[in-house]
Amino acid sequence: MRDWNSLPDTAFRAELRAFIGAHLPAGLRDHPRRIPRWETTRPWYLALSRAGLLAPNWPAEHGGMGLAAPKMIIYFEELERAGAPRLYDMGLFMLGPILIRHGSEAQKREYLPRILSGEHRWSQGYSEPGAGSDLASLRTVARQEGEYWVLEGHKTWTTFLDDATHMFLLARTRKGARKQEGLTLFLLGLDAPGVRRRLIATLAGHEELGEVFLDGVRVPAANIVGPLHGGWGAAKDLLEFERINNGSPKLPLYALNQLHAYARANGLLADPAFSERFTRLRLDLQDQYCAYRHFCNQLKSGRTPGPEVSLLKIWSTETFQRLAELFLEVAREAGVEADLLDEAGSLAALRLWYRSRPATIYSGSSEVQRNLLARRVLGLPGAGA
Amino acid sequence: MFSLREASALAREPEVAAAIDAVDRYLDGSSGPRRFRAARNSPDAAPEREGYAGLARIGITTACLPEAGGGSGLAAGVTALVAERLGHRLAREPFVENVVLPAGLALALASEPMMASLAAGEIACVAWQEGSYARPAATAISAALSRDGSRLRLRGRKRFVMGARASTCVYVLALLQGEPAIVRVEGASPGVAREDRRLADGTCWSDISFDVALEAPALVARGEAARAALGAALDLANLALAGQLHGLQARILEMTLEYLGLRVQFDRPIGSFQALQHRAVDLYTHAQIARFLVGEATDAFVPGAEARVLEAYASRAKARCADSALRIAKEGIQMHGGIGFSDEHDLGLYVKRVLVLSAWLGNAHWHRRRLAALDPSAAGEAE
Repeated sequence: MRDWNSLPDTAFRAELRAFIGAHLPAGLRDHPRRIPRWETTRPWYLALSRAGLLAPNWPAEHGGMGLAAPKMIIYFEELERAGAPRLYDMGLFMLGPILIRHGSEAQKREYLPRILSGEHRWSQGYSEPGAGSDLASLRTVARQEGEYWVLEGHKTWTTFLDDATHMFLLARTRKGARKQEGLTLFLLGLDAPGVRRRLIATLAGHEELGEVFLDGVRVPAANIVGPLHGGWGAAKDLLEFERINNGSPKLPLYALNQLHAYARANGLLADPAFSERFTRLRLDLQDQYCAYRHFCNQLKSGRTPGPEVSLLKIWSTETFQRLAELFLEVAREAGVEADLLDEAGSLAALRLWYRSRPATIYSGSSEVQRNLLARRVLGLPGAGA
Repeated sequence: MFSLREASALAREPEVAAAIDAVDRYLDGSSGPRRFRAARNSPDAAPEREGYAGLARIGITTACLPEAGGGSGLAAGVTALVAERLGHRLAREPFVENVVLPAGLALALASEPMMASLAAGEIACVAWQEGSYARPAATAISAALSRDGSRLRLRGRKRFVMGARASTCVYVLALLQGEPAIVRVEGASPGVAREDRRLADGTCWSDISFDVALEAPALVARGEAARAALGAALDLANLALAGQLHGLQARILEMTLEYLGLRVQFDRPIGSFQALQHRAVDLYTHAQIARFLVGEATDAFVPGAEARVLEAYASRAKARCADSALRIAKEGIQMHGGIGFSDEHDLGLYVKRVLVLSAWLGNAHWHRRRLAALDPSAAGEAE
């Protein structure tokens, strides 16, 4: 097992850059789809896995790299720099950390290696038609039948559903005094009888989202993660990892690199009006790194960042959108031509504009994040006060 | 919630922590806003002299000077940590103008006479601007030094000299045979004419005209060394100003959040309205981004650091804090309503301090323009 953290930063960066240079296929760089299909990215996923480079955030004992914050930043920087595609990473960044923290030994043995091997591709079953921002009002239920739990319900806006094999989901197992009580986190194979999925096309025309209908789906009790009726705590934990991950500078960094290349090629950098706006956004991103490093360091020193980490997600996603908006603006007429939208190497402005829109919606919308910061961090009174 | 101490590794070093604690204890003795209000538009330098003496008593005026030269030998970044405390308490102490700038210049020049005079308690300031802020390299210098036998003659006019009123000596940038030079001028010399100009916050800076004869030892530095040292001193001063602006914005935001919880309208605390909550969160977010940046920049100012890295950190910190402090200041007024626009409430004292310090030594726009021209990879950004 390599001790990555003991490498000097420059050596670590050089090694990653060399690996990416040698193994990332040219056709996957700057891929026009937000999430290319599994068959497309699979060779790259497996190459990273074989080299032990797939799970930067997992501890070494589970096959991860166990990277400290500064190395983690370098890791993502190098991938963004090379224009590496989004992988089927829900298992890596969402479920993996939660299993490592709350899963049983059997669950860790069963699932973690299969995430690394690509055999299991996870999706997340949280949102429902009536439970988006107000997640805790979800209505999917699970009732016990001996060693099994039987799921009834309807999940939606599920990313990765096109090629996912599994889903972790929240279902109500008991009526509680508060709606956050009585929820349980389940692991579900999507090939189970009673599961039906329907894909949903995005604004960009890609069927990467979907909804899942659960009609009497039987799940063994061993597939419960964390305490029965205590799924909200585990899910919230997951959301904290998610928020740090969603607050990572990688999305705006990718947009900045694309816009910078376009601006240089088209002589925009000499335009003072453009330069002023571009520099502002570049600094917004650069300064976000300082906050990101701070929260990563907190996480690495064993302290779970509190609700204040939401500020990263707001800042990162809104910076991403402003970069994409500036790009679309300077691309002018060419920006709205859709013929080449899915062609590699074509103008990225519209693509990035589409890609940036859901970022302030998923994983807790910007509005929900602001509510949370107002109440839990600033201590401002609730609406009923 | 906004403390710079938790965002800086330097602040955790015992000697640095002790220095910050000493500043806090010193400030505990009096109310910043009351003193600041009383000293507004003071006709003389008594408030600055008193403040300088206070900082000297607790060793802050010499904190960064080397131990061999009578100082404490702390890393230069400590100035940002001290300035943050001064900002938060609205202290009137002339720290950046009479401590950070001259000490930064002495350190960058490694000038023993200059350090000795500062360690001995002489109040000094640096006079170099002739127009709006620019880097020394780009400044058109018209103040001129000419040889007059064994002596030098300085003729010219300097502007925006903060801290001149309390100073007993001035370090002046002028041209000597076509290259930049720094000379030391006694403040009370005949031929030095100071014109104080009142600022928005009730402090002042000065325009100074020089027509003085100087002895040869008054020449402190010349050529590229003089220019580079002044640049380094200005970078350190801007880092400290960023720290001070962060302290000011943190206090304004604390006052505003408290007010949102107390002020009742429509039978509810106004802080329960989502429109105001979301705006408050945005101010909080800007303050936090500024805080983590200044913390990281503070830690970068250690001996041996590369000049281009410090340049980028200083400009980033100043640009960010000037922007966020102005944003928080104007939103603070709005959220306080009528009382926020009154001179009776202390909020306005903080707001005006922000106006002045964000404009001094380059505003956000100027520093962003400079950053646009700097190598983007200088401060750890990916290509």
